[in-house]
Amino acid sequence: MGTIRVFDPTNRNAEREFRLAPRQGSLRGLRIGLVENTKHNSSVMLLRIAAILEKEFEAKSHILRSKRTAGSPVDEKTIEEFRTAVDVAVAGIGD
Amino acid sequence: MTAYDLKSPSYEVDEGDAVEFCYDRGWSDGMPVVPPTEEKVKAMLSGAGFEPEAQIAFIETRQAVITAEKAAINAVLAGCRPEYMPVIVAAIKALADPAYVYHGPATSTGGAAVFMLVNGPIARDLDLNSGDNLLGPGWRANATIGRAVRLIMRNVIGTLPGTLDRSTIGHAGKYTFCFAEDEKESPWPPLHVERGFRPEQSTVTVFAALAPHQWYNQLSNTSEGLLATLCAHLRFSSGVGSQPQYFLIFAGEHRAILAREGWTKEKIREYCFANTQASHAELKRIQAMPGAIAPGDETRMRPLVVSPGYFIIVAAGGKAGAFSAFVPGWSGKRSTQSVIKEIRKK
Repeated sequence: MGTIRVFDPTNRNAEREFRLAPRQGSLRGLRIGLVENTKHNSSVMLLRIAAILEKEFEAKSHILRSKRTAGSPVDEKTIEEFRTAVDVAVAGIGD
Repeated sequence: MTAYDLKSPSYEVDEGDAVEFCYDRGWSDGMPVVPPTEEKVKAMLSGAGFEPEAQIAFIETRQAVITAEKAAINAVLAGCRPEYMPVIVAAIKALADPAYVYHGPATSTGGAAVFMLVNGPIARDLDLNSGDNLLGPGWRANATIGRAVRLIMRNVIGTLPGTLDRSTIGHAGKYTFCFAEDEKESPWPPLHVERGFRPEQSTVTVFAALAPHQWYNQLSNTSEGLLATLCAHLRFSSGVGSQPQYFLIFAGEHRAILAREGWTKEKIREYCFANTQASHAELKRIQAMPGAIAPGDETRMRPLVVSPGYFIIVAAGGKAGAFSAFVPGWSGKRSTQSVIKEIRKK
């Protein structure tokens, strides 16, 4: 039996690199953006986090926006709003 | 052999070790694969009439481009014949449609499979099964077309079990879940015609699906008798609470009774819509709805689905046996919708 050449079915070599946004050293005086994913208690949990960030870490304020569904990306309108209206965003939530 | 070059990395291996090599690289769904050689991949590409670099689809939430070459390599792995490629291409386009919302059903702990229904003449041309053992083994096209789509999800989009496929339980349809409607023996218009296509066009409908549920009624010879049984199974089925779409698959014996009494798809949908509603109190008692039982909850009804059209009716399955099946969708109407695409031959 001889050799054969097989072709890679994966996209691993074509995956894009993502750059994380610069991290803030402190939350003092910063505006928090919250993205809730429409699941039960998502907004409740995020608002509690915002309260802790404001009380214990001196964040200045927060706004809460919703995704269309848990599986959808954040919509462009929210991204545009966050560009100017918030300094840090909390966009992930456990299930 | 075609003049163009494939762009994917390739590896020279002993022919006898090639299947194990594919396992070792993590390219398999757990079953043996067909080693994707240049000759086989190019034959697959010619089946769809694509150049290797042609983009079939882009999955936004994964930033993943699916090229014809990658689709073809995975179709070879799955054991497809080249003439299956147009079905695979159409299915992948459907998965990338914003209405399907790929990321949710692919990733969710809910464990959805990609249910694929093929309509039109291509189903007969490819010998896609629409009869006996509908959702079981035995037909190459059913087995390998669905498998190819799942392998593309795994290898190209990164939907890997345990990382970006977090199904808690999953089900066997995640290996393959592809079949055809029995248009020849059906008393009703086929699904693609209901959705605006001509009978001579071919289509694939994809649907984020939980496990199929077989139901049985050998006692009744009336449509209402049959549907009473179906509705009893549906009322508190897997999708209860989230109001997904449901596929209702009627096999031969049940179909014959419905046809004899002149029940149209529309009439069946209306009956099922009316007879699968549950009171808020019932739903709260079984913890399918949050909150304490409030005044009026015993008589306040919630439909299983948002409208009768959410019951999608298909004629398929064997002629013998008093069995049919339904397939609950994953999650509700905002989270995903079934998507139909035309299958275009080269």
